[in-house]
Amino acid sequence: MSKAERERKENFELGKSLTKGNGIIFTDIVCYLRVSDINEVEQEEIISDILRMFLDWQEEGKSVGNMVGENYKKFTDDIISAVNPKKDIFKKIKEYLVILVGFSCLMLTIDFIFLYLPKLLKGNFDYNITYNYTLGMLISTLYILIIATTLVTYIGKNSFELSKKHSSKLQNFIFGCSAAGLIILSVVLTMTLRHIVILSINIRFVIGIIVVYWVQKGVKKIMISVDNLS
Amino acid sequence: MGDKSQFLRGTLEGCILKIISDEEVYGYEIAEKLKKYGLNEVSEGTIYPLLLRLEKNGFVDSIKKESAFGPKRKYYSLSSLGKKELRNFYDNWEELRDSIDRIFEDYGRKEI
Repeated sequence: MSKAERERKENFELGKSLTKGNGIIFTDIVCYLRVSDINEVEQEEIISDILRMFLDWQEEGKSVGNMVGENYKKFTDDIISAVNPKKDIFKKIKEYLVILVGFSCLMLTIDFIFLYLPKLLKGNFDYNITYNYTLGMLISTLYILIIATTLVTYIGKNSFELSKKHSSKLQNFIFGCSAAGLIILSVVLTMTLRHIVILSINIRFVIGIIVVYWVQKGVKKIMISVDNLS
Repeated sequence: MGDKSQFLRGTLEGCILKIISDEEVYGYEIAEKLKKYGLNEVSEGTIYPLLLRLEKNGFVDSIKKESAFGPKRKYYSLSSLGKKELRNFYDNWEELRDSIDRIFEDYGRKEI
């Protein structure tokens, strides 16, 4: 397991000891750091340092506001400028590619479960059939990823402001309608473009891809658990 | 102009390096020592970005050690580059302090 993953798991466990108020401030700081240009290893290291400071102050009955000043955004900006992260475009592309491959495998699994799994369970599954990867599938994968990335970046960049803001009923309604609209658009796109096949492969390859993806995910998870026990 | 935090901004990193050069310390201890010397407005939170910068520039090394009171603490020590930087800071500080002292040598006397 990588150093960043180990640290993330450790931070997650330690973070549970924070009080509700400190937990909110800490989460805002973490969200803001996550969408910064600081690399993953340094992010975890900094999050770990901040968490330990928060816990120390909590133990001594000192408020976070007194220790870092009430402007938490400025505190986090100072940290980011201290690290002075360099924009690494290739690293960013690699990160997005990993997400894209992972999410495509997830979509493939969902597609397989709904279309082929019932036949496989009934025992009348034909292993020689062809799986068609459609344009609709590709577009909906990219669409969901873009929406999710935009949303995460927006929440991260505005974490401190969003925490203070209390949405009105109207704002919640507009947000709900927008979310529903985006989902409907995704379904319409998939349905409209589902007849355009961009890749045809034997179903065995699809099963192979799904198995490899979930096995490596499972192994990773087991390794994290073993690492935490040791 | 008379804002103490403005004065501090450029010199705090040097003071932190000096404290770290005396012994291996963790963030909270550094803030407490600075307070002991009269820098009361400094807290662990305000010096953390400076410690990060010093570490990033290779002036200090850090190591996490188990603490009897809670989670692991990060202890800082001075690197060889940090020793040079501290010397450099102190030379500049002495030069600046002497110049300012000379400017203010007769300050107050003329008005009497």
